[in-house]
Amino acid sequence: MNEPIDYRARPYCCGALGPADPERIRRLLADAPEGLSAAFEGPGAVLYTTGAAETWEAGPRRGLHWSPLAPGSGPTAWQDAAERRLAAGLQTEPVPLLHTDALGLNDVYYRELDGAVYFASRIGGLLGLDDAPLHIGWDAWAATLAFHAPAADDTPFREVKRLRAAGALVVDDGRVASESFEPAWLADAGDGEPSPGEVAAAVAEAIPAAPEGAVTLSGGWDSRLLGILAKQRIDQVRAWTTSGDDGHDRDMRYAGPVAEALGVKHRTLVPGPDAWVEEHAAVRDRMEFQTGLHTWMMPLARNLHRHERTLVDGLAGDVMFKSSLVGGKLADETDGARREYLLWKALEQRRLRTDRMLLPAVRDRFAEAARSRLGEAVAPFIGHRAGAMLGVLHVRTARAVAASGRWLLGPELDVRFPFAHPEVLRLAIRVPTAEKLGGVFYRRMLYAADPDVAALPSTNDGARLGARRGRRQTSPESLRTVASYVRAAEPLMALLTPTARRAVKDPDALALLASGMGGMRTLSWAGLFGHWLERHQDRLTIDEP
Amino acid sequence: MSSPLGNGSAVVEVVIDFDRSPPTKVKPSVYSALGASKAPVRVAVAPPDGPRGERLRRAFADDRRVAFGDSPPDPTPPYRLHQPPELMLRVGALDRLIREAERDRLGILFLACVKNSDMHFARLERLDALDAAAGDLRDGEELFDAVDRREGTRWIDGTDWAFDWVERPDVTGLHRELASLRLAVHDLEGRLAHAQERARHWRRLAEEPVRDRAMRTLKRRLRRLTGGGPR
Repeated sequence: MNEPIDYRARPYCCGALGPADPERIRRLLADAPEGLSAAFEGPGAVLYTTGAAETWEAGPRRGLHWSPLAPGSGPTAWQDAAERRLAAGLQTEPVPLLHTDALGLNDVYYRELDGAVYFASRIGGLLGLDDAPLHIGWDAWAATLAFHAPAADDTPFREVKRLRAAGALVVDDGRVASESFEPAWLADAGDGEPSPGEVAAAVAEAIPAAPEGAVTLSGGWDSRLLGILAKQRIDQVRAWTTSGDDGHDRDMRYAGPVAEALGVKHRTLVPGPDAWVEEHAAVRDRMEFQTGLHTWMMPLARNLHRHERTLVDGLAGDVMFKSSLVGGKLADETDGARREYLLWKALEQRRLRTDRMLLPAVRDRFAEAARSRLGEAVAPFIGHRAGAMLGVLHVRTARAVAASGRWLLGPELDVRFPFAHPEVLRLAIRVPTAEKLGGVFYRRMLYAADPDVAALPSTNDGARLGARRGRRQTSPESLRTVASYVRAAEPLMALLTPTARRAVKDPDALALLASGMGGMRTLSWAGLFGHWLERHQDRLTIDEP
Repeated sequence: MSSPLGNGSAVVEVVIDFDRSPPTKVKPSVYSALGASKAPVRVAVAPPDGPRGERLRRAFADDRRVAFGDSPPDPTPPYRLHQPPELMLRVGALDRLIREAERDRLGILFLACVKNSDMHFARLERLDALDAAAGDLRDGEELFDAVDRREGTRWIDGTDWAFDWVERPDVTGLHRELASLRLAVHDLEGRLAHAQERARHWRRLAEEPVRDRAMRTLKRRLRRLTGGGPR
């Protein structure tokens, strides 16, 4: 059994809105981690947390918020808590209301049962509310194949939903209603284009001053910029590097000289050849099977849990300032529908369009579902001139990429995401995409922060990569493990072509599929899905996609 | 069906599933299959209804080796290769695959072709092995698993063994270039004819003796004076 998650830096929260059933509250608390205590108990809402939830009050409005991603003063409304502090929370007066942050980085899952809303920081905290069968969230699994994670308010279970960015729930007259607001950065006209120095200063400002802290140093620009800026805010900075299991291992080569130039203590950790097999189950449990990414990080995360308290992470830097995944054509598109289509192509990256393992009808159904859920997720802002960048942030960054910082490094570590700060986002929207493309603006930002570090080679330099070698996730043992999950899951095998069904039973076929990305994409997804089906087979009623 | 090459019945039927591929990708697949073996080959294409399928039917209307629809070949060839239209068989590939299957009496030879983020499957089936396995299916067993149990199957790298990837040609660009070259040729042909005509005229004048030219001029003037010709 995997070690339980230790909520020492970020709390686990759960509770209910509306006419909650005491038996269900009992079950909710029974499935929660140890150390839970009541933070609020009122007639229309209850909240339990493993740590302190900060209270706020402004006129007739009161509430609590937790897991703020941005530092700052106490909020004055739930929208303020969601936007300026990027926190999840519960407004207790005048009307009980549950919300997440304006970028959707905080996980707030919920179920509606008999006119009440039960919520928790984890999907698993909501599965035991009743004994009724649960269903596969097919749209979520389609999106996980297309974008690496579910989109909109989907989760792997049809019955469990996740609060959307800038969204809230309120129970009024026995009816559950959704609310949302438009974050101010969407309306911000701006004062012209910010300089690279201004942006670097804003990112530095988002790093809380501390006597000591750590950065995860890769070979890319985000982490080295944060390394430079963290030194300005944190007295003693330590850098950590591990192998990203991408078959090139350039991080291990490039991070050392950067750490040396920064003058920080640097530790590297090389996972053993069986690390994928050993860690994949723990990683999937921690991320609740919502993405197949990040297994490579777990050995490092375990070390960091033992040795560090605060960690600075470069989440979203490449999307905001290098226009990652948003090329010139997409950025220049002014028609909302056309922009949404191009965004679909940019995020899906032909995972479904070139799939040859799923039955054609299933592939078509998945493509339709994933595209529809993407449309749903980006509808509030796709018309904005920065709609494509915001789409990548909300769909890929918040749901797939952030999961490592939130659920592998955290909640044991206090993980800070300085790029994911309202002020930094406001500046990112004002930098023209033409300047971001090709890394022009980012190079200037790095140069403004530290020209010596900026000059060192990086994974963003565009060097041609050779063949991938020695990936832990494609070792014969890893492939055997993946295939065993697929073969054992009948509902999943029914989605595959007869040839693909034969392939997962043959080690030679698996080795051939693992020789390129095209062969591994659907296989990896199927391994994740099959593993999830095995984990929850007792609770699931299987229906067709 | 007799082979148009006069080599007897087809040894292998190549089945190409049209799927959603443009005819520009299907045609190279069909041509490559027809030329991939010394043994007679029949190519079966399952085209969609509508103009795309019709274009393809017209392109191969004169070749009896290419069949459309579900009409089964008679007699049934011993081997069948299923392949997607995005792949082209290399010369000699079919013979190589059949040799490999025959050597170990394999029921199916599966081919996986992986290129960057793209991937395709193909398979060579020994049809008597499939028929036998179909008649010997155990409870809940799949056909390919039964073939594997009875006769054996093997997976090989399709890109190494048999296939090239159909690259999409710039057909529009080629047509445009061809049209402009035709125009240029037409123009040059016109100028050449005009120059040749002028050359013939001057050559004739240059070669005519002075006495003959003077006689011709006198005859013309005499005709005018007598009212017998144009002035």
